[in-house]
Amino acid sequence: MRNPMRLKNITGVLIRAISLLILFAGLALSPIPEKAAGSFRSPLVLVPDDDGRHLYVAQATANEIALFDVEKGRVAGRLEIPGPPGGMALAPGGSRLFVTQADPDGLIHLVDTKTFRIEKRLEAGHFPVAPVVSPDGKRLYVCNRFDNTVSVFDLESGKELERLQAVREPVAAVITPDNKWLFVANHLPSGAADGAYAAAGISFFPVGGEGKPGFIPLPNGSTGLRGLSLSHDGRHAYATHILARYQLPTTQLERGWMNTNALSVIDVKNRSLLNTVLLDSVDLGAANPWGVACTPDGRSICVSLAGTHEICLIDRVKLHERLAAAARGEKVTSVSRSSEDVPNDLSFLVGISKRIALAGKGPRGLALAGSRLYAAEYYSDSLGVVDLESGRRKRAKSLPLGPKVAMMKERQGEIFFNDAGLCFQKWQSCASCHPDGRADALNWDLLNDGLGNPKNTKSLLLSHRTPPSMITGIRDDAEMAVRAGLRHIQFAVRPEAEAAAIDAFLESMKPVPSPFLKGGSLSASAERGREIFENAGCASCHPAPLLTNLQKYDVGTGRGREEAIAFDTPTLIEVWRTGPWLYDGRAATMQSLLREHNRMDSHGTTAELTEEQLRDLAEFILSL
Amino acid sequence: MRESDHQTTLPPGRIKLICLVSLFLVLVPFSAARSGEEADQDPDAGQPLQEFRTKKDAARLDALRAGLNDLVAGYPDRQARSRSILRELDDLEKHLEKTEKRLVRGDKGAAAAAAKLFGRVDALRHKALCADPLVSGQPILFVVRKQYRSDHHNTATLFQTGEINTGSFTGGAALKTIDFGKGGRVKTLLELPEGVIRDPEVHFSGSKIVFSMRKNREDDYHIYEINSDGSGLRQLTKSPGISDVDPLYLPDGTIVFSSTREPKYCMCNRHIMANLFRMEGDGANIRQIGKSTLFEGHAALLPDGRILYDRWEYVDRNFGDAQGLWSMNPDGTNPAVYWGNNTNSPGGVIDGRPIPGTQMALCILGSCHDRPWGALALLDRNVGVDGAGPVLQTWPVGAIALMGKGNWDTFKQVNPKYEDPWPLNDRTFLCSRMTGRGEEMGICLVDLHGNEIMLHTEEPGCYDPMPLGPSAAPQLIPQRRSFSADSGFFYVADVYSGTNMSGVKRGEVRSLRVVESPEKRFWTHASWGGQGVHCPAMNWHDFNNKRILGTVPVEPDGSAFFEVPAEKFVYFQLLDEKGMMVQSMRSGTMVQAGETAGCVGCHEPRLAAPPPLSRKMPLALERPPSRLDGWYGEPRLFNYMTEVQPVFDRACVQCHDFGKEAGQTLNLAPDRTLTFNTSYNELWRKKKITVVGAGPSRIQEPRTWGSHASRLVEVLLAGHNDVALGTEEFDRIVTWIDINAPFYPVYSSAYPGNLAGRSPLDGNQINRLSQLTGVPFSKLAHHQNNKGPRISFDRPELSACLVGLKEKDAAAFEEALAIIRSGTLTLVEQPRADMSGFNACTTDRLHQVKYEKRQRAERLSRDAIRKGGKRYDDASK
Repeated sequence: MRNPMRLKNITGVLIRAISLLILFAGLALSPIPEKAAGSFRSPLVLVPDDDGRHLYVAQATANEIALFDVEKGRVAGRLEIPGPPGGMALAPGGSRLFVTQADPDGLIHLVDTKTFRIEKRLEAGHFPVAPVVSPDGKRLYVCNRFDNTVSVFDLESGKELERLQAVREPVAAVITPDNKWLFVANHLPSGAADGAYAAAGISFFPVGGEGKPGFIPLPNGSTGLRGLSLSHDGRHAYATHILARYQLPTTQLERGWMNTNALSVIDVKNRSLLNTVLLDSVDLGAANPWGVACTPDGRSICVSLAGTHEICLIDRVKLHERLAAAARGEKVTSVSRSSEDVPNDLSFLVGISKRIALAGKGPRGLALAGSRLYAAEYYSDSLGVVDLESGRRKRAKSLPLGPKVAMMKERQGEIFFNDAGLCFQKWQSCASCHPDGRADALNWDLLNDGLGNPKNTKSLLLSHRTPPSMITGIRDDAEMAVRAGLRHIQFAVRPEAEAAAIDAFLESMKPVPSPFLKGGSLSASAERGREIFENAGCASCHPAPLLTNLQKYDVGTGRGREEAIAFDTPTLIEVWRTGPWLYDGRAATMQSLLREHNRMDSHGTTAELTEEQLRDLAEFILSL
Repeated sequence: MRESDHQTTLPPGRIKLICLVSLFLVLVPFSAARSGEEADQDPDAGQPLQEFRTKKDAARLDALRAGLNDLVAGYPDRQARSRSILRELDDLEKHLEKTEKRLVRGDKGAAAAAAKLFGRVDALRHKALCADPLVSGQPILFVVRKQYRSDHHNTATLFQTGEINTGSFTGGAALKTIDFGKGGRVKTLLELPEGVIRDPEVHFSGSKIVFSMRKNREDDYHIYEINSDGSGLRQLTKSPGISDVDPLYLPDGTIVFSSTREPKYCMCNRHIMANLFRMEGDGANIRQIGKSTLFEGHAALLPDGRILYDRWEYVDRNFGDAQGLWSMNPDGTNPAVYWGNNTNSPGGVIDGRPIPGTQMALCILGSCHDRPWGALALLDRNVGVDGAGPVLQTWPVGAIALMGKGNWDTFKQVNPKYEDPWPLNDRTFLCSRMTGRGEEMGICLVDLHGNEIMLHTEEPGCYDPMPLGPSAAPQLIPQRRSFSADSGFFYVADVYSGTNMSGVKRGEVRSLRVVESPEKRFWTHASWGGQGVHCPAMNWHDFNNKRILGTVPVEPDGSAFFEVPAEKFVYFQLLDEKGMMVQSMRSGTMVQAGETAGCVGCHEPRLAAPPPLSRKMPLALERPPSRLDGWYGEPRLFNYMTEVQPVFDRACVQCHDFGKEAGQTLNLAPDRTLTFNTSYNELWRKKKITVVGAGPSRIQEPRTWGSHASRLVEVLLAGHNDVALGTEEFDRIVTWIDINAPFYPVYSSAYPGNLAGRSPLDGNQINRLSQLTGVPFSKLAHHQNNKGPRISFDRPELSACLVGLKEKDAAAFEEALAIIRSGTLTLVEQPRADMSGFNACTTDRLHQVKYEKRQRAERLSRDAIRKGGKRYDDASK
């Protein structure tokens, strides 16, 4: 077999690769000034103050925390943050607000709520989000999303005590009122995607001393976890996520054939999954559930549906009655006669939930203040508000967080990318399989290359600069793939302007510097790996700056009906984020890709590498 | 176009009358519970007080108030007007209270005052409901015509030229608007003294209307378009001798409609049926998108862009309750049940209309043997796809109690009857409803608060009310079919995953059989009494002929993946290792060319998402799709006499024959009888086979019918004397049983005028034979009355009707034998449909010519689509 990895100009490529890394390092040191892109606010997280009279609003693209006066319905103060605020938590008593800066710097800002000024900074890991404060106010827990860890700070000393190991991209966390357990939602599945099970789950950690940490796997196909909330009594935790039916070909969307949208109910005491219910109904999807909040009276669970711009309000008491009845083997609906039926039952919530349309777009974080529910309307720079005690026909209002900003094509494209309104029956948006424009870590059997050959979802980062598209290269370019996606995956005929805007959004996406970099530079191991990258022939097909030569090769990975098939060479930029790897997601780790899945040395010359060399090479690749 | 100011809104007196009649019609028949509440009344107050209280209850002032509160909340800019009506209501309530007190006191004048007050309530309700901009913000379009003449089924409203019921066509119609925003002014857009206008639909722009029109009895229904002001009438479809009705605009400018362009008939009678077709906005490139075997009507658009329609078809089940609401994509892909396919009563499920802003729909719950009217029902299919559960409310209220009761005609008792539902929003619905004057219908408005008023009546009746204004177009669904392929694909993820698979262990299902249930293109006047009438006789009990297309493997994980010819109405059966049927579909589906359709399992729960699988993907998808391989030869129409009888001839008839002891128990002789043959009659009549026939609507449990449940197969499997059947022979018998034991391969007939359309003996011969033998042959042409084979055309002297006759009356015997022998000769000269050399009668051949002509037109349309051209209807006769 021809080995395409032969490299003639190693030095040249190396220089280009290094310059690229320097460029990334530069980005890491000074985060992308998103504000320059039009000062959209993009409210992401809401935290009510202690008396419920104000909301703190983390505005992701404005690098700002707004103080929203609930009674007056307008912003009463603003606090600039050096980077995008990714999460907030209020200390007991409400005197201090913790704001995480969601970028590689890993800063946590301690804000004095009386003066509304930053009084102190802590340093956490890569891309800190979802801070929680222990009920006694002594500890702060922060999810380092791309380090897959949780930092534990002692608030008295300000010292980081330890880093807990989550699984993959921890994005939401709650701590039980008895201060014993920390639950953390992992955004994406880990592990290979070519088996019978692939799903994300909930990590839990004993923070009060006793017990062992563990992991609660969610039903097969669970991905895109976003929100996690405890019930008023701390007995249950609720996680929002997508429940992908990835095992079937994508021949239709009806009845949730691709992505369904779910709420998983965790039994806190037993640290186990009680069940998972679908938020969708039979002819109408509830795409991309994000925030979740439980009312203090224990009666309702509120979920924001980011893809359909709605709030789903669930009668919590009746939900648990139904779950208990199903567990007893009673017929609850025409579908559910056992607990096993529930995660597939599109009628489970009929009669005990209602969907309230918001006036704004893209609701994410939720907060309760009195009888009012507030939703961070990410894409309309506003807060949605619903009075939960306003009777049967609840109507939502949208309150602006500032002057309207002129729409830009990239932003409009991002809105479309996240909007399930484009999709037949609102089951999903582009972002359902491509969260944040990246990948859901699942395999899908799309029809563009025949049935029975599922492929791992690709990140769309740099897709417009690295034609062709799809791992088989079946689409000439990303523009064509975007339009095919709307037609064949969203099953919709949409205006060209929408596809063009989505192109603009995807082209505007910037890589996030790797969490494997140390202070923005390659680690010593990665430095060694860089040399191996050249010598093993990797750089031949993955040359800088795009880290792909845009060609298709048979690198010996094709299996079954795909044997001897040439696949498009993917870019390695941000490859640390796009596992599992290879066209069918069979490689859960970079080392397994380089060794177990490259026995014939057809995908770079790695067979002779020592374990240490292999680790170094993987370290380098994951630093890209 | 004509404007008529004198026919404006109803005079106040008439409003009162109609409102009162309306409320009484609606409330009184079902108000038994209410009258029970009268027990607490003052026993001395007497009759007037009692009447007053009944009327006051019936007046539903609470509903009126709730409706007004909706108006106040929904239209802040019109609050002043709504509040002023609310004040009128307050005032009325005070007066009613006072009057009630006067009645309690026994004030004699109070009764007259009360009558006036109730009149004011009705007028106020009319004013309040018409104040809703949904009602008065634009004109309401409607059709004026007579109710269709009573015929047979709720689909029989076409009275097409050259068909059995042409004579029932009654002309006299107009397309009109009424504008409640302008005092109820009526405007005539189009008038047709001898013809009928029906099924209008307003374009999303509000600027034009598409509808069906037949100018007179000699004409047929074609699709027309007219501007909303009544100008620019244009004809879009033109083919003579076919009916195009129920047009519907799609968001891409194309039009879907129901048409008899594939000329075929209901299997239980003689009436022309229709399918869904689609054409360009100018009438070009008409192509068939629905292919179920009977009727597809009343297309409406779901908010997601799919088509909601009512569908009547029956495979291995009874005719009467086999109508339900279905959905399909506008290109005909993915036909899927919406509601009511397996509900035994009502028999008529018609005219589904999605309710804006909800996932609910309105429809008419009617009867099989009735006009397309019945109770108006509010459906929530999130609750279920069958039965009473999803029916949230009916008008009249009492009709909901009839759900599941009786049979397919139970809803005939509903009174008053409703038609043409049109949801204005999620609470307020237009429809047509009986006015109380015979079959006359008027434009009616109902809401969820309990208000109901007759908005407008005029003779001979008003139908199809809908707002004449712009509306939001649903999203467009991309085309998934191809015009260049001729097959599509099905995959089943896991056959074991289904609602009715109890007792079936994993691994038991080895293969899946694909059977076609072809359409019925012919009919005879003569009939056989199966379940319903077969004209001509087809099978003992059910209606369908069958064509086995092939059998494909089911993988150990329960998956299957196979190619199926496009646009064939097919159904699936699961077979075990012996090739015996475990479960059968009892409905039909199809793929469009190039479509890949997926099922979760067999009778999968329709409100469930696909459950996770035990492996990364269905095993069957790891290999190329299975190809259908026919059944002992190329796919062909199943003929009992050639597929099954030869097995009995070889292995059974030596004992099970005339004159043999075993033949007394079960005669398996091949001899043809008047309608079928000897063995077929014996096996069915003596219940040696257990099949579902034209069975009930409910889904059957596995192995409860077919070869697994049949005595004949039980005996064969247990070993019967020294009978040794070859594998193929055994398979031929079980397969025949499992496809519901059919007899005739075709619906066409050689003897359309003779008994059951199958007898070689004509009416005179049958009558004479009856006189000679004393056997009432005509009465025996029914599965319930049949007394067994009485005639053998193969061996006339062995005919049972002759037994003992020779001894009694030799001359009669000889004459009778001669008649039977003449039948034998006729069969030789003019073979029957179960014989080789069969030729259809002239009528059937003409039907076939018409069928093929329509198929040619269909092909030419598709050629035009493929080439990017346009082909229009040929208007020549």
